[in-house]
Amino acid sequence: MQHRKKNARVLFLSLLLTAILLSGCASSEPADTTGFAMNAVVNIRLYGGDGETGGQILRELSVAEQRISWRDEGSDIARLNRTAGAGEPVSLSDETIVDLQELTALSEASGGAFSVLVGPLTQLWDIGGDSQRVPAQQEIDEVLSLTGQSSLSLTDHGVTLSPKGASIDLGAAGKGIGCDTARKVCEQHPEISGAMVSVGGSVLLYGAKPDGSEWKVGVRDPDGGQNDLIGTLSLPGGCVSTSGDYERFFEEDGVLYHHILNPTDGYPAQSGLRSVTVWHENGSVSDALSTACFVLGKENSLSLLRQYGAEALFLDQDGEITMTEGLKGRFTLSGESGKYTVAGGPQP
Amino acid sequence: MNRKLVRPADFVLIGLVLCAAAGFFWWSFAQPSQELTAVVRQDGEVVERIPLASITESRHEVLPDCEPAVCILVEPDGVCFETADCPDQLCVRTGKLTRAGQSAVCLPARVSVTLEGGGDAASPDAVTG
Repeated sequence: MQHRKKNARVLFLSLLLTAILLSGCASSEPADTTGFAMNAVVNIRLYGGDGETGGQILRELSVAEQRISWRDEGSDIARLNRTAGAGEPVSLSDETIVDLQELTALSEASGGAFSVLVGPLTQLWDIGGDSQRVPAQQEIDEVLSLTGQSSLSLTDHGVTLSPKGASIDLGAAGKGIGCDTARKVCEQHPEISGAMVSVGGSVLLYGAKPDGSEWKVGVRDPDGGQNDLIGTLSLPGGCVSTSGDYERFFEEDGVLYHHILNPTDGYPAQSGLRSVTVWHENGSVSDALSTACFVLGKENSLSLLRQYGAEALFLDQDGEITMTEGLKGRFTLSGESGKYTVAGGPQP
Repeated sequence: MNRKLVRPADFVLIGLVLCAAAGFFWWSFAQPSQELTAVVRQDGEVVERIPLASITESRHEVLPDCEPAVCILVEPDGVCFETADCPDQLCVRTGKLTRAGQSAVCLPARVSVTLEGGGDAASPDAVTG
């Protein structure tokens, strides 16, 4: 009897020791997954999740791409574009309708600096594609005439696009939509206490890290490689997207033409900026706003950012970094290049 | 007489166990960081893990069945895309990765190289842009 009780005590203490030693290990080690989706590299770090959930996120990103990419013949957007001018409403998925509603509203709020109806313009320039070139002014004028008349109608009966030749391109918000898609997957898994999902430079910061420290997001140096930074933002969560003149471009006769087209004049935007980084709770909003703000320029972006409750960091062509009030104190300048300076934020 | 499973003396033992556990956690965090490892992924799948400490001279890795073709150079102090047949050469222009968390990507080839390990607390969680 004494022997059995002694064994029970030893067993209990052994189990207690094992539980203590193991308890901290699993939850603090993240599960990392890397893949390709939405024509971008996707990096996933999950705290509390595992590789299967990372794989699920990648699959959902591919599903989202198949829904919104105009290049995918079966996508909602491609189907809608094919019906332009036909006058018949098209039935789209609920998710696509929500995306179009949100982005159309943002387009109006931005005064057209961001537009979902830029398909004819982006296809004309094809920057980053096999047919990239500087179009003739007449070509640009014809496309602007088309996009200026283009309209999108969302009703209970479906979505109607007009006139013929009009086309939707969600490329400027696509990776942000990817971040929102990743968030939905995380929300389905209560064991995930924190997650970082990067979709080609648009980043979702979900929940918290095990040590409770804020997420650190590096802001890329336009003149450096993929790992060179102008500095780092400390953020509690949300989504971050950046638009810059270095992402996709080509050079012709000594002139650089970048991919962020101004829907108003049909040319790559010249707003005095190299890049704009926007923070917002929502991924597609952060992505679309970063494009709009790049086109609008620093001063003209402020009211739009306030309207959406977003924050932004601007890098101008002189190497000066300014930021809205909400990011002050959250940015640490990188000393590596030594060519950037931080100024006071723009006055509201 | 009924004897309890845990006696007063056992609480002393439990206290010692907790101290041992605390010591273990302190020791594990105080350990030198893991060595740097170059992780090569193709289509999201890991195809090679190369500890830099195992490299004594430059090693050129040409990935099979890779279009466009890429060649990865692994050296004791880092890793890089040495050559690539992609049109924009962004992967090659990234240069040599020398710190944990850095990565280079050839999107047309769907190949990525990341330096893992090293426990660099200064590395950001993500990069935007």
